Formats: sequence, C-alpha cells, structure tokens
Amino acid sequence: MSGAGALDGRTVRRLSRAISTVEDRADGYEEILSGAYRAPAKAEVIGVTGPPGAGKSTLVDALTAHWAGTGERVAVLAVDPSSPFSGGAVLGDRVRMDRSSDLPSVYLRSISARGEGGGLSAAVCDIVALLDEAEFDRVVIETVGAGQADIAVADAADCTLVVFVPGLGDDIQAAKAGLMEVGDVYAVNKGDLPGAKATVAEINGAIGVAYAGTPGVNKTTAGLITAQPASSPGRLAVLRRHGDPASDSTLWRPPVQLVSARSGDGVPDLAGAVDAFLGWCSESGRPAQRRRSRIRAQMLRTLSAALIAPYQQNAGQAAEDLAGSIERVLASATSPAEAVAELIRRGSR
Amino acid sequence: MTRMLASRRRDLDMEVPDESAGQRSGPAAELIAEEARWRRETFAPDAARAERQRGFVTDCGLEVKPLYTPADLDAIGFDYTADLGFPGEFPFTRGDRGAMNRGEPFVVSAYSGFGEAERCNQRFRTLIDWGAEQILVALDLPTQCGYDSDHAMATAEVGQVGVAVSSLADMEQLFDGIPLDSIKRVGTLGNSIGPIVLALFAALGEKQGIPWANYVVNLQNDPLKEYIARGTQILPAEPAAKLACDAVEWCIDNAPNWSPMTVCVNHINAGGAGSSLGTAIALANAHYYLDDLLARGHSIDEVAPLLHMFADERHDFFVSVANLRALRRIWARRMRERYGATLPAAMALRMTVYGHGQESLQEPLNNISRIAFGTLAYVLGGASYVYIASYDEAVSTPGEQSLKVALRTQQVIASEHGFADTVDPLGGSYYVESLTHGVERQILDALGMIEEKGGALAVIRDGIGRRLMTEGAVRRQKAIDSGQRPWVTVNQRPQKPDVANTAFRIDPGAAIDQVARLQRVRAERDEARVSAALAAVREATASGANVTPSVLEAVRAYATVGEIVEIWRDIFGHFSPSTEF
Amino acid sequence: MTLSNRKIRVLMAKVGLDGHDVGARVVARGLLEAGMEVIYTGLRRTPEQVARAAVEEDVDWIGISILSGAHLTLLPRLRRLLDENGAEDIRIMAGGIIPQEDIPELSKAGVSRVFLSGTAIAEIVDYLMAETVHD
Repeated sequence: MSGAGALDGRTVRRLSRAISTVEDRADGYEEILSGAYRAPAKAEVIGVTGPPGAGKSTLVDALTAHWAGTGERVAVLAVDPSSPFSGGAVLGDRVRMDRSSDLPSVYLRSISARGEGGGLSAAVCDIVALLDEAEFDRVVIETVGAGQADIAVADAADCTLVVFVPGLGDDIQAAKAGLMEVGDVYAVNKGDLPGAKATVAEINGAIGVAYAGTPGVNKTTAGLITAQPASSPGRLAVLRRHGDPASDSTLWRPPVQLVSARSGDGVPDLAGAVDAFLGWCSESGRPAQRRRSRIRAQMLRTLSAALIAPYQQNAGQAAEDLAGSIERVLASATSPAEAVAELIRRGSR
Repeated sequence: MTRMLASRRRDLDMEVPDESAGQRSGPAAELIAEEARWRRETFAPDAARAERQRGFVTDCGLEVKPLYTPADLDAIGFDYTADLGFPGEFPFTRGDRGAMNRGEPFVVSAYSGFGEAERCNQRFRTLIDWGAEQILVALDLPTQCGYDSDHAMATAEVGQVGVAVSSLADMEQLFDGIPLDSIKRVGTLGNSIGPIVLALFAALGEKQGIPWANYVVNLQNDPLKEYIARGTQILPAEPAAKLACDAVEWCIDNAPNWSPMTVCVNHINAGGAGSSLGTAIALANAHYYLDDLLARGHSIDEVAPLLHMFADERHDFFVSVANLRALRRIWARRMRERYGATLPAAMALRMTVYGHGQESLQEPLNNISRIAFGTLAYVLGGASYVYIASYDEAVSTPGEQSLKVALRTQQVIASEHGFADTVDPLGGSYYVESLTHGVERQILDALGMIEEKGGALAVIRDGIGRRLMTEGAVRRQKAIDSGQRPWVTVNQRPQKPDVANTAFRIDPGAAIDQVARLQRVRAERDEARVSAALAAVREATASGANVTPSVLEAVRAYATVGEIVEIWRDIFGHFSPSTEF
Repeated sequence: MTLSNRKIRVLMAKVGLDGHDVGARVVARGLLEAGMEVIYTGLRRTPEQVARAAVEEDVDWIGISILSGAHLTLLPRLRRLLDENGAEDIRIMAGGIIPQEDIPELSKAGVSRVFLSGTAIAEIVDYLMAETVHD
C-alpha cells in the first residue's frame, strides 16, 4: 500500500504541530509561515462545498481514496462550524472518512471555522502553504456547508466542486443561488436516488443560461457568445474564471457529474472532470491568477487581523485610545466612523 | 364517582382544559374550585416551608402537580370502558392477559453470558438452580457484530461482555445438560445477526431431539435501534431490517409459538431520548417491520403475535407504570385500527423489561433497593418477562453473588408484599391515569412527528434520532450536575466511589479455549457441505429470498457466524454512520 | 504583536466494538460548551486508528470511552503507539465501565486519568483546563 506519497509518523507529527501553531497564531507562527511560503506552491487545491446533507464528507472520502490510489499524496482539511457562544466545536468529519483515513499517503485534519462567517478558518490559506511545503500533490478543503457563506472556498481553491443531492426541494433553490456562481465542476451525489437525473438536468439548465457550448472545454467561435450582458458582477467573475469569448481561445463550461459516493459509482469520472478543469486552467494560463486571488484574500485577512490586534489587547496605547473613542461616541461627541478614522490617523500601537 | 365512569365519547385530541376554565358546571366545577381553595389555604402555607427547590417535572418532560383529584380525570375525558376496559380485553390497558400475575406470574428471566461456552454453561445451570425461568444469552461483541472469535476485530473482546458463539458447537456446549424445553423460554439479542441466532437455536433443538413446538425462543432481533442507540450494526439499515424480518417470517411457518422479535425502547431511552420519545421511535421501528412482513403477504393476525416490545423508563416509578399501560393501549388501537387485527393475541402487547434504578458507583449496595423499586414499577405496569440489573452492573460483568440478589429480588416481588395479588393495582389512581394519558399523548405526538418525517429509516438516515438523543442525554447530565435531579450519594450527600475489589474477571484462558474450539470445528467439519451451504446463503441473500432456511442449513453444517455475515457484508456493504452528534 | 488563541483540542474515540457512545457524546458537548475543540472519530476504532488520528489532529488529549472490558489491553496499546510516533505529550483520559481496582495499572501504563461514570462534566472540564500545557 505504501507508495511514493506515503508519510512517516514523525513528519506527520511535525506538520500537525505546525498547523496548530499557525491556526492558534501561537508563538513562532511567523517563522513557520515564512519558511512555508518560500516552498514552491505545487499542490492542487480542491474546494468542496454544497448544502448540508449533500454527502460532502462521504464524497471527499471517496475522491481522496481515488487520488491516493493513483499515487498522489493527498491532504484533507475538513472545516466544521464553531459554536458562536463558546468558540468550541465538535468536529465529526472523520466519522465518514473510512475509505481514505487509513491510507498511508493521506493526511486528514479537522478544522474549526473559529467564528469565520465565510465557512473557512482564517488560517486555511496558511495551512495550504504548510501542506505545499510538506509536498502534498493535492489538498481537498471540505467546507461547513452553510449555503452562501461557503462561496469563500472559491477564493482559496484551484478548482471548486459544488455538490448537490436530489430531493432537497426548496433548499436546493436557496443554496443554488450562491453556489451556482462558484462551481467549476458540479456533482449530483446519491445518484441512485429517484430524481437524480432530473437534478442533473436542472443544474445543466441553470448553467446553460450563463454558458454556451458543451460541458468541458470549448473552442471559442462566434456562435458561442451568449446573449448574457457582460455587465453583471457574477457574469464578469464567470468570464474571468471560465474564459471570455472576446479574448480567450478556449472556454470552460462546468460539467455536471452524477455520482454515488457511497458505492463509488462515478467517482473516477468526477475526479477526471476536476482534472480536466485543472488541465484547462493550466493550458490557458489561469493557475497563477487563481493563486494571486488566494494570496490577495489571505493578505486582506492577515492585514485586518494585524490592524485590529493591538486594539483587542487589554492594555497598551491602542487599547487606551479605543476606550477613549468609545467614551466619546457614548457621549454623542463623535461617530464610530469618525473615531476610527482618527485612530487610524494616529496609528497607535 | 359514577360520573367519572359514565360512558362518554372519548376524543383523543381533546386538550387538557385550563384549571380556571369556567365552562364546566356541576360537581366538576365545584371540585376545581375546592382544589383551588385547598391550594391556597392548606397546601401553599405548608409548601412554602417544605416544598423542595427543584421543579417537579418527570424525565420525559411532564409536569407533576402537587395533587390529583377526580377533576383531573374529568379534564382528560377519562372513560373507564374506552380507556381501560378489562385485563386481557381491548384496549388491554390493564393487562395483556386476563389473570396477569394471579395466573402465571411474570417470567423470572436472566440475561447472562461471559467467557466461553463451557464456563458459561456452569453459570446457566446455577441460574436455573436459583429459579431463573428464562435465559437470554449475553453474547460477546465480536459475535454480535458478526466476527468469529479469531478475527482481528475480536482482539481483546472475546468473551468480555458475553459468551463467544462462533458456531453450533459453541451452542451445544453452552446448553450441555440443559434441554431447551426444561425452561420457559431461551434466546439472545442477536440484533444484527437475527436469522443466524434463530437458526442456531433451531439447530440446537434438533441436536437435543426436541421439536420446535416444545420450546420457545425469544430474540431481540431489532436492528433498527442499533443505528441510533446500541451500536452493533453491521449492514446498511434497510437490508438489516429485511434480514430481521426473514427470521420472523420463518417462525410464522415453522415455529409460531416462538417470539422472534422484541422491539426495544430500552436502549433508545437510556441513550437520552426519554421514555416517551423512545417509545415513539420504537413504535416507528415496529411499524417498519410489520409493514415489511405484511408486504410479503402475511396477515396482521399471523405476524403481530410474534412481536413484543421492550419497554423502558428508569427515572420515575409512576411514569414507568403509565408508560407500560399507555403503550399497551396504543399498540392495541394501532393493530386494530391501522392494520385490521381481529385476534386478541395480535392486539395484546406483551412486554419485556429490565429493572433498573439510577445506579451509582458510590455505595453500590444501595443499588439493590433502587433496582427493586424500578422492577416493581414494571411489574405493577403489567410486564410479562422481567429481567433485572445486578447492583454491580455499572462497574463490570456481574458476579454470582449479585446475580443471586437480583433473581431473589424478582422472586420477592412475585410472591411477597401482595404486589402480584390483584391485576393492575394502580388502575384508576387519579395520578396514574393522568400520567397514562399524558404519556400516551407524548408518544402519539412524537410518533406523528416521526411519521411525518418519513418513519423509522428517516430517523436513522437524517440523524433525527441521534440529535434528539444527544440533546436528551445532555439535559439529563445537566440535571444531575446541577442537582436538579437528586441522586443520593452522587449529588445528595455525595460520597466517593467505593467499588470494592470484587469486579468479576473473565478468565484469560477463556478466549484461548474458544479459539481452539473454533479451529477444531473448522478442521473437523465437512468442508464440501459447508461450501455448498454458504453458496446457498449467498444465492438466497442476493436473490432477495428469505435467507433463514439457507442459514439454518449452513449452521447445521457448522458454518460460522463470521462466515455467514461476511457474505452479507459482501453483498450489502457496511453501514455508513451518521455524523450527527 | 502575537495574538494567540490557543484552543484545547480533544479527540473523543470509541475503541473496540462497543457501540454505546452516549457518554462520549455528552462529554463532547460539555467540552464544546467550555470552548474546546473536540474531534469525534465514530465507533469501532482500533488503537492504531486512534493514535494516527490524534497525531494528525495534534490534540492535547485523547478521551476514550470504553464499556466492553477490554481497557487493560487497548489503552496500554494506544499509549505505546503514541509514544512510538513521538507523541509522548498527547495524554489519555478514559471513562466508561472501568473497575476502580484497574486504575493503578492503567496509570502505570500511561493513562493520565480515569473518570468513573457519574462524574460531573464540570469536573472533566476543570481537569483539562488545569492540566493542559501548551508549550
């Protein structure tokens, strides 16, 4: 079983501790990241999202086992929500990871969202850097499945896989609203349930409104230009991600795959669709663009955390300044916006 | 009182009216006014001094009033004829049989098993000698989960929580010198391996030369609750339920006097659901099995008498009585109204119970009285097959001394104090009838919710069951931690755990002897016969036919439990656990 | 300018075939309410699987719920596997049906604490808060 990707216990131990340090922003995390971000970014990052009950964990398990079976070293980051009251969490995704969790080239880590609304922990991008350093070929990020909030995964992933399931009724409509704009590949899980084919057709129909051509890679021709106006933000994002007929020679139309994560039916085809997308990205020069957007998102997150941090301390000049500002707002002497502008101007530390 | 007994149309959906409702007239209104006066003038001044801090709410969530009067019966529209009737007659509230404990008292039963068959056989003989009338074999976890004693998954668990049984040879040893017709009933749980344990008892009867009609086999054979509560599930829920029904169906044709399925509230309640919700989930499971068997073309009058239920309420004495009475009433009505049952046996629910108290590790001898009270409640509620916990059960496999105390406790309840001298002695109590009504409402409401969500399989698949159970378990823990639920020696007059060094030890040689016997069986059996029999099991399983005849043949040929289950795993796959916490 | 938010991480596991997990679930909920991160493994895990999960998840504690009587075999094996993987600092607590007289032997085998049934959740929380050392 142990192939080229197999991990030894000590390496896993070191990696795991580094992830904790980075997640906790504990002493020494900057040094750890400074090394990690200097390692070549090689891992393909696959984001998996979809409404609760779609069987994401089971599908991630099946895909992970599939990729590990082809000799890849695969890491899974399974993100679960945290309690808004205590900040604690019960992370239960391992329960469903029966097929992959024992494989020697698989690393599985449960991550608490730690209050992040986007369904991704603030540290996820940093953790991906650590996994790059540990020479993983692929990182699968499973999100909490909290509907629209999950679109944040699209910023972090090279390929976003959106999982639906037949029979969610109105829920699917609600979830689709956000998710239909982020998917590079769609999967309809529990493909053996009645209505699965109808769900595939429904999603294909929704895709057809924004995309021309056939699922997968299409050569750009005049006939492929749809009537959709290019002005909406969603449309512009799609053009950026999946090709603009005006400037690109090929376009990507997200395919919809029928799959049964439980039985494994359709899993190789789904993995193939993900790889086809990554292949198209690479041929059309998009990976760099994806990574740029990921780093931009992480920079913004890090920047905001760094700016806020001094004000969250219990003591120090910044905390005093903040307390003073609060008093002035309370006393109806200023507005929060004005007070913050003043704080930034003073740049207190 | 004749006013209360007057026949009145009963409306199940009738709301309990507010005490201050002014529409009532005549004696009821006078009584309500009198009770209000009593509360004000006599009760309140006294309660101000004496009433304890905690709220008076049962574990299943019913509020307990300080006093019950005829007005409470009036408020629920109590109707003697429609609600109670007579023992052994519809709706069977007062008992499933006419004479109840005045005729043949409840069956004194023992759930026992440890180590390997030879040592365990001695224990069975001892129990029978002390007066056990039914033996339910406790199997070890590898056996219950479909692994032979030499399987890697069986490591360290062979013989630990029950006796290891891998083949018919183990059963022969286990019942050596104990003819199956020498005790009232015999059986085991076998929830995930129902057809196999059924076949083992059927083949054992053949070996002992006793016709199936001359002994009674009782199985739990209720796989659906394993997925939410007990955890020995092997296959996905649907095929597991199908196999369980195969065992029942075989009995319809071959051993209609057997009792091949016991639908359990016990583990669901203990896991946190509370007795009313637990009963509703168990009823949904029962409906699932019944629907499967009826879809095979059998009549409800053939099928229903083969099922009984394992009721459970271990926190509250009176709720326990009420639960059993309400459950009999619900069952009778459902069998008649939903399925068109006509035979009394198809409407009269027999019940198994396992007497428990809120047992503690602190001063464990106190558990004897706790368990006795819990058991007494079940007997007063009209249970038929009574098991009882041993006082040291919370700490380890019970030893002989504590088993003996347990059996004697049952015998005391059966014969002393006059507990068993009249039928349904608490019937008609204002409190017990109010509780019976309240519990019945809770069960029916929860069952309605479950049926709306899609029934038994949805409870498992969508994680509803586990979610509700976790919430309930957390609520119970908090009630104990906060002292709201009093527990003597734990949160009242707290003591350190003081379990003496008497834990019963499984002889480490047992597992070695068991594996040796298994390997001897494999070496000596007719391999060609085993292969042919296992091929037939595979064919029957794959074709969807009843697997029991082929399993019986395989068992006769000394095919092992693990070999048969491996075929099922191969065809149906493993269960996929819910991530619901 | 470090803003550390170290969380106590606990792996809750069932080893062996015993399927009664209500105790584990109640404890997990209590730890969550105390702000800890609890990783739940599900039923029927081998000591090998639990040790691997504990290392991957970099937990401070492993909580083992065991009612099947196999504790004297399975817990020492888990300890050994952790130590072999350089995870000497991941500590084990156990609960369930464990005879008191077995506790000294379990302590000797490297089980830090046995919580007998009936233990208040607050006692477990307090213990973990006091005992967890983040280097």
